[in-house]
Amino acid sequence: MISCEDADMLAAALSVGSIDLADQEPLQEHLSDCADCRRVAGTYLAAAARMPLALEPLQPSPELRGRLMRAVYAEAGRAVAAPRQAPWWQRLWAGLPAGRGFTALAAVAVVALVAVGSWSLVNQPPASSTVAIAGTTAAPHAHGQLVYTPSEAQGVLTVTGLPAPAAVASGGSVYEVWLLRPTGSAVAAAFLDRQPDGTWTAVMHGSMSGFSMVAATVEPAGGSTAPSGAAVIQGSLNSA
Amino acid sequence: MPGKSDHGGQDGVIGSDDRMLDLLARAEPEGIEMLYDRYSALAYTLAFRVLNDAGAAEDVVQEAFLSVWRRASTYRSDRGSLRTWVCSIVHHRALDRLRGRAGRARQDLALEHAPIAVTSVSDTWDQVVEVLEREQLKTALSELSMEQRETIELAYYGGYSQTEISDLMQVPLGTVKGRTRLALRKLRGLLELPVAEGMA
Repeated sequence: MISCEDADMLAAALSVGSIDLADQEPLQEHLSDCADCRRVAGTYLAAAARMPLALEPLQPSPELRGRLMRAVYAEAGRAVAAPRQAPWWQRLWAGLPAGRGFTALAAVAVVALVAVGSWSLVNQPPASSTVAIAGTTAAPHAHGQLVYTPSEAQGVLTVTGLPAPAAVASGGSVYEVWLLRPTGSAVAAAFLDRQPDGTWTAVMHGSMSGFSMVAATVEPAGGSTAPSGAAVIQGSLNSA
Repeated sequence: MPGKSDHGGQDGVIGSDDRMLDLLARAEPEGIEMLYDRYSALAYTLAFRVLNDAGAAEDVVQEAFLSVWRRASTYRSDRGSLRTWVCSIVHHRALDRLRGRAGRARQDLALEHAPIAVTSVSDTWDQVVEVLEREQLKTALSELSMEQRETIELAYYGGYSQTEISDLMQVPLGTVKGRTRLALRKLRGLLELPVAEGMA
């Protein structure tokens, strides 16, 4: 039987699909008897499986979903469920004129560059730094900035172009601001308040060190313990 | 300001797979619908990157999700996340199809033939997190040496075996093995993957 050292090497190759044919059986034999190497091999597999996350996402044709579901429902012995309507934001996006997406992408890229350039100032250490905030397709006209002052551990978020859905206007919902850590965990940071001039503002207290992104979602009045509604704005803090 | 309580935990805000798993375990088609809606873009992106053929990529994605549907009862969460499982199945099937092509012809990614990327500013929370994860991955991959990155990309997307990569890069087989392991170890560390993700 091969050693754990050899198995470790081959497990890495297995995770990316490059293990040579002759090495497969010795590795499987070793893994069947070695729990430690199975665990390590699992971590390699999980790391490799994340590689496609770095690719720009593509969408399969809408017909694929229908084909798959017909096959699944047939195997389940059930009638095919009525096609589920795409979320409103997907329909909105699909309905945009051709080229609009690229315009939006370009805008996002510019915003991201501005955000990256601005946020990098945090480490320099400036009196304050500014991060650009972009609206999502749920609020395409929204934009704004987050001005963070490290010495005061305070961030001021200002957003314009953000609509006030009826539920928010009537107090039935709120825009809740979240800070995300690189692990993906979210921290409730503030609520956006509408100002008389139509802008939305929020003041966040506390250090923003360790956070990678800021975003706001529509939540029930009083806020939520975790993001549950549609995101309306977002900004990257990642280059800090 | 609301209390600064941490809501996400280690699993992040992508949300747990519990609901999908429950439905899949009960052989409810709605489970595969939820799974498809969450991971089909990732699965298709991976399949297309390997095959550079939209039709073949869709075939692979359909086969992979059908396989998940049929084998859902064998899934064990302690062996890795649903996403890892789905990606592994798609990857294996895509490589099988690639290797089955006559003459093992591989096509470089021709952008003019690529489906239109649908990246936009996201408006659902999962998509916000996807943006974050993509940035993390790009950063992590950029931390690898050029040789390490090329080695694992030839393997993962190109479907080349270690011996073939050794020939292509004109380096000893041991060097390919070492680079592959170092790259995976670095990625694992940079992504702070939990050691608990084992495999059978």
